[in-house]
Amino acid sequence: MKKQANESLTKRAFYSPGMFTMAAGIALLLAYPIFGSTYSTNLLAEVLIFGIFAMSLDLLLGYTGLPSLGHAAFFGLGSYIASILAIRVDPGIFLTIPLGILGASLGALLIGLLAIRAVGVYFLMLTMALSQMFYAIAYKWTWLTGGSDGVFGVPRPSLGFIEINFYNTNNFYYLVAVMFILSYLALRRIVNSPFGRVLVGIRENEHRMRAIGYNVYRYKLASFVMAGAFGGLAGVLNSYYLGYTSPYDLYWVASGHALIMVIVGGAGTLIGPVLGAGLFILLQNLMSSYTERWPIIMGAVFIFFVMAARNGMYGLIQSLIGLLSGKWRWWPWRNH
Amino acid sequence: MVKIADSMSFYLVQFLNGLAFSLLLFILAAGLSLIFGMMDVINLAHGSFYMIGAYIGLSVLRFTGSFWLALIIAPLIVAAIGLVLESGFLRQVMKRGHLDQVLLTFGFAYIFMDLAKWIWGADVHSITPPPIFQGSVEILGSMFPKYRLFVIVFGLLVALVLWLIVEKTRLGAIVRAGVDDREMVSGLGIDIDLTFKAVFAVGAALAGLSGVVAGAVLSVYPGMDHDILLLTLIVVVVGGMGTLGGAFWGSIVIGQADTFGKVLFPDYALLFIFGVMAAVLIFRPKGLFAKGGGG
Amino acid sequence: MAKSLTLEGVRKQFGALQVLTDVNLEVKPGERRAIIGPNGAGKTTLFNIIAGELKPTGGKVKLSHQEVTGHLPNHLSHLGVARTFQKNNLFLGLTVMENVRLAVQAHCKGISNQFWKDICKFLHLQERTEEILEQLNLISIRNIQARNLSYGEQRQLEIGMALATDPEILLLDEPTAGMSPAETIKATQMISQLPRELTLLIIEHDMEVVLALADRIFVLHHGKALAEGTPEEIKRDPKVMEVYLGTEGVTT
Repeated sequence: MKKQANESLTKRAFYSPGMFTMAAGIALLLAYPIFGSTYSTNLLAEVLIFGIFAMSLDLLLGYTGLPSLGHAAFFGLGSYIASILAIRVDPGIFLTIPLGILGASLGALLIGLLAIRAVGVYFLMLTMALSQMFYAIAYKWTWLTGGSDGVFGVPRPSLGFIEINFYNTNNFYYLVAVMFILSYLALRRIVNSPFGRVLVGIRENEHRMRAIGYNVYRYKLASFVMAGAFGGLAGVLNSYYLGYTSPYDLYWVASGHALIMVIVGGAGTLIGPVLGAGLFILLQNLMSSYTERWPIIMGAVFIFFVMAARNGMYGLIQSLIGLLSGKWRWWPWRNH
Repeated sequence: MVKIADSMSFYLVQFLNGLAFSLLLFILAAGLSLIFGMMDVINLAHGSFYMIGAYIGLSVLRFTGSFWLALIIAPLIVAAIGLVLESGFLRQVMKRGHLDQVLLTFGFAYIFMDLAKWIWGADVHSITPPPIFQGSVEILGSMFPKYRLFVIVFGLLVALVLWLIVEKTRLGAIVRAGVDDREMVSGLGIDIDLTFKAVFAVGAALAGLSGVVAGAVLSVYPGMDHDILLLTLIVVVVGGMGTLGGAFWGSIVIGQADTFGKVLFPDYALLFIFGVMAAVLIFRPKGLFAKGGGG
Repeated sequence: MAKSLTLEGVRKQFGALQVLTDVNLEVKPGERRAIIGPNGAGKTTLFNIIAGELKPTGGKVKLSHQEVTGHLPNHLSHLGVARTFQKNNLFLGLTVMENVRLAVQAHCKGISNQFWKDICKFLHLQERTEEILEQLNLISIRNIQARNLSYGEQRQLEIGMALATDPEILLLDEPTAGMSPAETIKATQMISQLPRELTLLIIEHDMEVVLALADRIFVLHHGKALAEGTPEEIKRDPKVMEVYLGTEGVTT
């Protein structure tokens, strides 16, 4: 699959804009509840949760070049595991998060082993079809998953012995924000590491990667599992957020949503997909109070980006800044 | 003796059920597979064409009272919509590779589904079959709906016509050649653009046709597009992309697996299908009858 | 250091089409062997088989007497085989430096499994990459995206990446294809200056390049060995002259 890479690694100065913008962003995120309304803080929490989900798909699609239409399976796995554990065992996040991530990773390993041997379209179709296996399980194993009703009544998490009331919007927001920031920093490290550069190489020219000595299959599988792990984390958080998990979280259209977020936001940039998630969630929540037809608007926006602005929102922002600053070629702009 | 006859008639009825479902899937899969084989295009809006066909069929039926008119008009309208999609949007994105095609067609599928909900509402409907096909007929002691027999006959007819077109006509020869080697075909001076339009329109029409016919057996509801697309993709994965034969046998396998799966392992029918798919892929990664496709 | 290459009875068939028939080849360590022949003779197919991209229908491939028939390309790369491609096969979206670094990284043990440390912190990797960029005269363009290079520079990078994997046997597939006369001279010079510890196989159409570089020449025609010998012997070989007469292959 051809992809226009918007990468160029230049030597990083300690105080490069990349670092600064990042610090500012983190500060803003942590400070938000102070001036934001309860409603908007809650909404931002949802954006951050799907931001993690979108970033996880970006690792797979944007960085490794693997287009998956089955990514919701891992989100769903994390969500169900967390929901079921929270209700039947303990809502402590020290239990649900690791197990949710583990479950999602195992699911990703299972699907990856079968799907990654395939190339191109077949890979896409296989991820789609195999992920629906989990959807079928969620739907049918009523004794475990509640079937089409889903698992509801999921309590807010507990931190074990530390008493924090996560039914408080701000407290829950901070939990989500911290997880988001940690995820972002972790993913950033991964994509800038030697391993991450291998993934980019695979995206750019898989054939040559083999010729120069890489076992491409293994790296693809590792990327798939890592992406699944982060997707699972998003799912865990979402189950707490909604207090409920449904089979629809695993339906392939939900994977399509993640795809929309990544592409509209800007694939291969980590931040882009978060922007895409933001746009998606905002449209979903805000538009739906004006019209029930927000999917049509979202679909149209998506098509616009696919046809005319392939580098997504992040790409547009970059171009804009480049135009305004006039010296975009020499600015050590760091693309993640 | 009675018991053997009973179970025989039971299995026969189930087999026929499976066959009817298979042929519905086949009409869909044929379109998808040929579009992919010929144009190297993955069309995720194919399920939408099916759905739109069903809904338009529903409306035509309501408006005119004629099932047969619905059967003719719906595919034509869907073909027109397909042409608009192809000429206006898909064309520009085709050269960019499969991912962009997937994204674009998914975007349209997303819009179509909500559009359908908007126009026809979220209720579940059903297309009433024409009076001749209402009611049941007795087969080996069991009652079998006449309409499903019609589906089987109609499906086989469509399969036959398609086979004739692909194997015996010039257009078919071009399509088969295109599946093997697209560049060669355009190099031979054949208007590849026009051929693509034709193939895409026919593929869309087939999907719409399947929608109308299916609308009387399965239900008509928003989301039917996504459900059927999944099954159709499984069919082409199992049968192999790019050939009618692949679409046919893939449909037979999946149709029977679905029907017997529902009967024998009701809670695990879908899993059973996936098991079948995984098994096929382990031994034949490109499907049972794959050929060319994706130049 | 350098590896020897032995091909025994190598055959390749695509359906009904026999592309290579009973090819026997023996290249000594450090030898420079040119493989020539008209278009369609099967030269690139031969390279693909040696490099593991294709499995031969029959016959054996041996590297320093170790049988490697059918081994995968990435495994062969670690056995010391490197190749360039007839059509540039670069990482177009990445800079020259990143292109070379990926090749170097592939052969640095254990580095690619590191997913937590920033790649810039691996000084050994960076140093080695800079070293190779210097050697290949690519240092001035190190930060340019490969797709923005001139054709000649891309061809240079193509060879550079193969060299960056620290090979013991190098397969060059028409290294000077599409180059201007000036670029061809520079490239030929660069190749001739490669260490003698490197076994070299070159597919070439430009006979001047062949004569400047090759110790021995192997002539392939319709997938069969036509002739083999020193440049002098080949120049005088009547079979070779017959095949090349009338074509633009021989430019001496």
